[in-house]
This record gives sequence, C-alpha cells and structure tokens, in this order.
Amino acid sequence: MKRSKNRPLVVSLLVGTLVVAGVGLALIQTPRGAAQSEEVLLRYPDYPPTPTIGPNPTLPPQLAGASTILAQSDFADASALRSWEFVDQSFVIAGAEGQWAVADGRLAQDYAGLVRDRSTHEVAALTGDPAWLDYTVHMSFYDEFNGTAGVIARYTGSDPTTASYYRIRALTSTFSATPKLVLERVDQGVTHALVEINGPGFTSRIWHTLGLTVRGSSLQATLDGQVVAEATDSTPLPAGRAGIYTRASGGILFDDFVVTTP
Amino acid sequence: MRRLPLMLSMICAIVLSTCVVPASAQTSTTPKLLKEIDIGDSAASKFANVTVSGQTVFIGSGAKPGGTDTHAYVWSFAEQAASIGPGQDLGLAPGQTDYSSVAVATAPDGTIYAVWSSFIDRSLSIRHRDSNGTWGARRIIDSGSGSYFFYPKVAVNSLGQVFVIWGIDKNIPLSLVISNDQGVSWSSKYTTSIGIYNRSTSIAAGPNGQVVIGFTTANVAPAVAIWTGSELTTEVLSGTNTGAQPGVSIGPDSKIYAAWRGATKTGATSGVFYAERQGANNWTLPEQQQLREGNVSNTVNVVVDGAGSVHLAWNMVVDVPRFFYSIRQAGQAQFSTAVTTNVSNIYTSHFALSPSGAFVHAALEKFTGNESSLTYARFSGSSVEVAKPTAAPKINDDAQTIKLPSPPATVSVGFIGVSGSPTEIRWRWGSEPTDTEYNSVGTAGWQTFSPTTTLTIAIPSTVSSTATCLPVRLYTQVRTATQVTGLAQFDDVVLDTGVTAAVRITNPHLRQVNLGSGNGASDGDPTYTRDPLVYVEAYGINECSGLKELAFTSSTPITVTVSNNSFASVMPFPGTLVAGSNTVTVNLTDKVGNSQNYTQTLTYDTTPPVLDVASPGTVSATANLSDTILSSLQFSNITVTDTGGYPGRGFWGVWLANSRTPVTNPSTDTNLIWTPVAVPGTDKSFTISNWSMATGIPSADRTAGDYTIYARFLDGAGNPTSGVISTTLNLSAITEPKVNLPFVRR
Repeated sequence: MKRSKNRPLVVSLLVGTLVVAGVGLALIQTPRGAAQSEEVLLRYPDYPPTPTIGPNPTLPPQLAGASTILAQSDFADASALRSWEFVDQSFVIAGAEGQWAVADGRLAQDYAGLVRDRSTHEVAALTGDPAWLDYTVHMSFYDEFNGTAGVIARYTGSDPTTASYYRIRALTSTFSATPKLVLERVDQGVTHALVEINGPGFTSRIWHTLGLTVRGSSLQATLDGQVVAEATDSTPLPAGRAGIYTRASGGILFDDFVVTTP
Repeated sequence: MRRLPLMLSMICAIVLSTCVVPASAQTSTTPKLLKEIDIGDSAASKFANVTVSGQTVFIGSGAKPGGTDTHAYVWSFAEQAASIGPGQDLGLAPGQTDYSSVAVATAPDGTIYAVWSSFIDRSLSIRHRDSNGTWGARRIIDSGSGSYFFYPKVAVNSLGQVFVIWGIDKNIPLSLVISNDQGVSWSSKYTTSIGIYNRSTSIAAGPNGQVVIGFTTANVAPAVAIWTGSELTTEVLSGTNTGAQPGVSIGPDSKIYAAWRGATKTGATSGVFYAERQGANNWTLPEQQQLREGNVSNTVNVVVDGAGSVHLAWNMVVDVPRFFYSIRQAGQAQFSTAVTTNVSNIYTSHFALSPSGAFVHAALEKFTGNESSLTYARFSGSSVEVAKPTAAPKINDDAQTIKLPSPPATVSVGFIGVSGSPTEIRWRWGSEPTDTEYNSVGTAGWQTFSPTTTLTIAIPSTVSSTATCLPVRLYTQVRTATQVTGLAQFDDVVLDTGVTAAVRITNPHLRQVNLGSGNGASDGDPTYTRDPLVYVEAYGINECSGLKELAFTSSTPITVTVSNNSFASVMPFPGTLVAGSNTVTVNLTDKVGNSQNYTQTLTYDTTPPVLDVASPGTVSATANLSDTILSSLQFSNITVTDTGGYPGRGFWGVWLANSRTPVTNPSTDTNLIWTPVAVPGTDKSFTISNWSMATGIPSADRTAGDYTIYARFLDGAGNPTSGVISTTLNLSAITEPKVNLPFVRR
C-alpha cells in the first residue's frame, strides 16, 4: 500500500527529468538564429596567428653615445608629429593623401586617405633642418605587410615630386622585384641608383634598423647595424633634411628615429 | 496509468531525435581556386575591371607595357583559358594609371563597352566591340581642361542604354551620362544629390532597365544611387565614418544588393558588410550586417547570379594582403568559407561571373615591390548549378521530311520542353551555334525568344543546295535575361527537294506490257498506240519522302494512289484522243507535296499500213549451218505505205508466222501464230537473223522438210498490213542450238 502511494511521485520525477533533459538537448541542437548574431558569419581559411610586435632594437653604441644629436624621436605620443612634415611623393587626388599616426609609441604609416585605402604611392616623413649637411640618420622599422622601408638624407625641394635627396630603400623578401636594397640619389624626382644589393630582402614582422650616413660626397648605408652599401657621389647633393620613406600601404611602424653628426 | 512513463519517454525520444540536425547541412560548399595567370603586358596596371560575355572574359586597365605613356588595354580570353595573350590597345590614356583607368561592361546583346579616362588629356573615352570582335572607333564622352574624370565605370542595362559614371573631386557629386545609341551621343549630366568621397565607385545593371551605383559619401559612409529613369536617388547605408567603397548588384528578382568595407581596420566598423534592399531606404537587419571584422581595403564587390546566389570578393590583410572570394548559395543562410588566391600583395580587385555562374573571374592588382601588374584568378562559382534554360526545337510540327520550299527557303520551328525562362535564342544549321558561328541574326546570333512563338527560320543555300535524303540538323540554343545559356538542342529533318522518279508513258501493246495483241501485234513503237489506252510506269529514284499520287492532267483528270513508291498500269487515255499526235502529261506528287509533270507524245494510229500489191518486195530464208532450226530472213525492197503516220519506209517491223504447210489466206488464217519482230533502221531491205523455225510450230511438227514463212508489216502502233509475202525453207535435218556448259569436276 505504501509503495503504491509513492509510485506517482517517482513517475512524475522520472517524466520531469526526461522532459527537462529533452528540452535542454533540443535547445542545444536548435540552429542559431538572429539573436545569436555574435557567431562568425564569414569564415576564413586558417592562417598562422599574427606575431606579437616585439621590443624595439637597441640603438647601436655609436648612436646611443653620440655627442651631437641633431634630432631624435621615440614617438612617445602624438605630439611627436609636430616636428614632422609628411609628403606624398607622387600626385594624388584630394582625399587620397598618405596618412600617418602615432600609436603605441611608434610612428605608423596609416594608409591613404580618409577611408584608409592601401595605396602603392610613395610617401615620406621629413624632419630637421635644411642646413644639415653631414650626418647619420637612423631608425628602426617593423614591417607587417607594407614591404617598403627607407631612410632619406639631404632632402631639398618644396615639391615632393621634384625633390632631391639620398635614400636607402629596402624591400621585403616577399616582393618579387629586385634589387631588394638600393642606395640611390633622387634628382628632382628622378631616381638614380648608386648601389644595388641583390639579396633576399628583409624579413617582415621583425624589427630592423636602417641607417644612412652622408659626409661630403661619401655615403654609407647600414641594415641591422651592418654596412650594406657605400658610395661616393662626385657631385654631392647640398644640405637638407632627413626623413623616413615608405609607401602608403599601411602595415609598417617606425621608431627610435635619430639624427646625429658623424 | 502504468504505461504513462513509457509513453512520455518515447515522446521525449522522438522530440530529441527530431531536434538533431547535422551541422554540416547548414554550411555552404567552399569554392575553389582554379587558375592564376599573370598578365604579362600589364605593367603599372591599376584598378582593373572585368566583365564576361558568353564564354569570353574581358579585363580592362590602364597599363604601360612599354614603360612610356599609359594606354587603355583590354585583355580577352576564353573563360577556361590556360594563358592570356597580349591586350588590345584601345588608345592613349596619358597620366598615372591610378587616374587613367579603364572600365568594361557587357551589353545584353554581347557588345563589350570599354570606357577610360585620361588624367593628362582630361578626357573620358569609350569604344565598343561588336560580336565579330571588331572594336569601333573611339568616341569622346566628355573632355575639358578644367575637368577630371576619376575612376570611370560603365554598365549597360537591359534596354541597351549605356551608363557611364565618374568622380570629379572630393565632396563633389558623382556624374552620370547615358547613351541610347552605343555611345554616339550622350545625355546631359546627372549627378548624385550629395558629394562623394572621390575614390573607386561601382555600378550594376539589372532587369527592367534597372541601374544602381555604389559610392562613398564625402563623410565616409557607403551609399547607393538608384536610377529612376529620370534621376538618381541616393540612399546612405550606414552612418558617418562607418564604411566605404560599396559594390552593388541587382538580383534576378530586381532586388538591390550592396557590400562594403568598414571604415576602420579593426573592430565593429571594420571588415566586410553586406545588405539587401527591402524597400526605399530600407536596408534592415538581419540582411545588413558585418559579416566579419578585418583589415579590408578598397571596394568590396558583390554579384548576384541568375539563381540568386550571392558572390562576394574583397581585399584583406590576414597575414599578407590577399584577395578573398565567398559565395552564399541561393536558398542558404551562410556564406561559404572564403577562399583566397596564392598570389598576395593584392591592392585592388574586381570580378565578374560567367553567365552560367560556374566560374568567377577576378582581375587582381598586384604590387611586386616596384610597380603594379595584373593577375587573373579563376574560381569555381556556384556549386549549385544554375538551372539552364531549355527549349527543344520541332521543325514543321516535328515532321521527319519536309518539302524544301522555294527560295528563300524557310522552316517553321516551334518549341517544346521550354524551361528556365529563356528570353533569347540563336541557331545554326549543322553544328552548335557559337559566339562566332551562327545562322540567326543578332549579336553573337542572339535574338529575342518567346516560348509560344513559332519561329520562321531560313534555310541557308549552303544547306538547301546540298540536301539529300539524309537528315539535316538544326541546333538551337536559348539563354535567360541574365545570360544563363542552355545547352544546344536540335531537331533533324529531311529536306525533300523535289520529285525524283523514273516515268514511262508508252504504247500499251509493247512486248513488256504484255497487254495482249488484240487486233494487232503485241509490240510496236513506244510512242504509238492503236487503242485509246496508255501504259504508265513510275517509280521513285532517291525520292526522299516517296511517291504519293499519280495524275493525268487533262480535261478529265485521273488521280491514282501510288503504293510502295512505284506504279505501273495500262490506263484509259485521258481526255480526248485524236488520230495522230497526242500529248500525254502525267503529274507525280510525293508525300511532302513536291510535284513534277512528265510529258510524252503518243501517236494514235488505227490505220493499218498497206503492202504494195504490185511490187511488195521479196523475202528469202537461209538456214544456219550449225543450227538449222534458226534461219536468216532476207527482205528486199519492201514497199509499204502507212497513212497512219509511221514515217519513212512506213513500217516499224515485221509480223512473222511459220507453217509446215502452205495456207491459202494467211492474213486471216487463225492457225498461224504471228510474232512481231522489230526492224530498226529505215532501209526497205534488211535481214532478220536467227529467226526460229520452231516459232508457232508444235514440237511434234518440228521435223525435217519444208517450212513456209509468212511476213506482214507492222506500223508503230502494231497495225499489220493485210498483204503478206512468204518464202519456203527446206530443212533436211533439224539441229537445235546447243549450249556447251563448262566441265564441272565433282
């Protein structure tokens, strides 16, 4: 008699358990609706995770201990941009100008135009005194996907498309173009190679340093602290500003820019 | 009550089982990269634009393959090409390739339009390529020293109107002009109601003359401008500084689709966005959404194919800048996993679909370190094949054989099994139609098609002039308004060019007819008759459809049915028969209606010829030496007059009879058996060789002794002379011809 009294309770518990389990499983199996719009609607193939940007390279001893520093910037904040002039080195329409920004203590080439398009046009960030003649310009760069980095010295001219200057220009190894490293003189917008170095190009997504020393008619370029090119220009360019060169493709960071007397 | 728990448990199990849905059923098929081809002569190319016509891909871009001035180029190649040849130089476009760019579009009739700007010349030009592959002359759409024509785009709507858009400067409205005559003349300029951010734009055409433009507003928001037929109405898709560079498309249901990129490189306003227009200024969720955040640059392109599948492509940095393509199959909720190219460092891109939706053709602007160039990439497109339209042709109500009409020969062609809403058709005799080989009239052979219309299709002379009784094949091919092209279908038909028959209209008393001699000989000249009868024989020779009827065309026409493609009979002479020459015309028709008259002149002659009584001539007989039963009969100076009309000597032949005993009145003696023998020629003296003395003589009487030979003379109609000449031949022995057979060894 006692057992028969408990039977409805046991049955009810069993049925209740099954119903709860069933509803739960059903909810799990139900396709996600609009309410779950957090789900990824577009899938990409698997790619290796983007490496974390590591610490900047330390300055070479000769630069760190240089007695005469003409200019220096670690891009600590946006105010660092005040001492720079940013130019497009070819004609661009209004709204397509190269953009620059300071982010996380670094100078970033920030694509082109308001919409931040990736553009292949050449851009430069210039600083310093037009009267600078003999000096070393040195900086660190971290390329993500831009592929082009360079250092400028003795920059003169008001129109970027007809300016004159020396430049060491480096390309990433993923580009098919050669040479990957060129020490060149740009005369009123026309480029003349002084030294071409055939090599694999720099590796992206690691820090590198790039330097260019101009002293009279002598030029010397370094990559990662190693001299990679030397040249003598019989008709050296006059004094001019220093700068950074790249393309308006975004994806590249600059830091520890310093200009010292040799 | 005891069963309740069990029942509830079973119900739960059933509910659970119905809730289990395989996850894979909700994912789309991933498209595949099929081919990448670097375009060799595309140095400095930027902002390439691509279109497809039929099975041919066209890529337009400014380029400097020679390293000098920019030229406008179009590369064309088959949709499954393994290589790409040199581009077609359309003309100078001086200036940086950033701002001297080329756009291409396909018109509904297959015409290709190429529009390009020249930054230095400050001009906007257009050329079009017809179905024969010939480019027309360059026409200047607009020019002016104070003008800019940045990033032109072109589209051709379903009405054949050519739409060209371009940007002028930042924060200035986008410009549009329209041509109704293939670019010869242009409308006045239409503009958007708001200024644009002067970067690449997009344009798409759809059914019912629809055109939509995608652009970025000056304050960096994606927007579309919809052509209403008289103006552009603008709809902004999201807020300020949220997105840019939308691609646009119009689906087969006239719905407008847009896709764009976020204004930033990370976060909620980055990546790929997509929306479907529900109504005026109504681009509501969930169709409008961020598909995926990411570092996306330049235009996101979208194309909706004829089946309603949505194709998306964009440029994004993952590890390096890449081109991505994804598809949302019609009827599915999710886009496929994106697929990318092997080639990287992609800056701008554009793509177009094959009309079938099976292939995606992308033109990619690749940067190699010093300058840009183009790479073409081909992907598999819609894995759910777009339903291809069908329409099976039936020539002349599916006739097997038809009469070849008089030039210009045509057939009527109806269609069965029409599906897939075809709107255009082309055809070709003997082979499947192609873009360059067809017999129909229109660009690439395409012309308007209505499923209920019976077409009148011309038969080319090359087909009709070589027609035999073998079938000729008409191939037809239909396509939809979205240029989904069906497979070629065909129908066979035999073109029966006419009645081809052998016909004899002759004397009914010829030996071959075996009518019987009656009151004359059982042979004679075929063109004579002594009775009001005519023998007609007809049978088809290479007659494709077969003979159907034979008729005498006379005042009293007679028509008889022909069976088994042949006819032979003695028939009453049709119409009124007169003594002398009569024309008999027989008309034959075949089973498809071809008709042919055959005419013969017959002389009706009932008057016997007359053997001259005074000097009828002579006959003598000489037995053959070896076969005595055969003899040679020599006739000399036979004199006959035939008033019935047999020309010349007055007789056609002789009528011979043998007798073992002389008879008193041979012309009336009924025991004589008369045999007609033709005597060709016109001589009155002649010889009949190998006359058998056994003719008409019973076997028992064929013994040695005298044989009397009687001869009468026959006119063409077989009328004999009443006069008779005779001769006697004595055979001492009877020898019959022998045939020596070859010895056969057992």
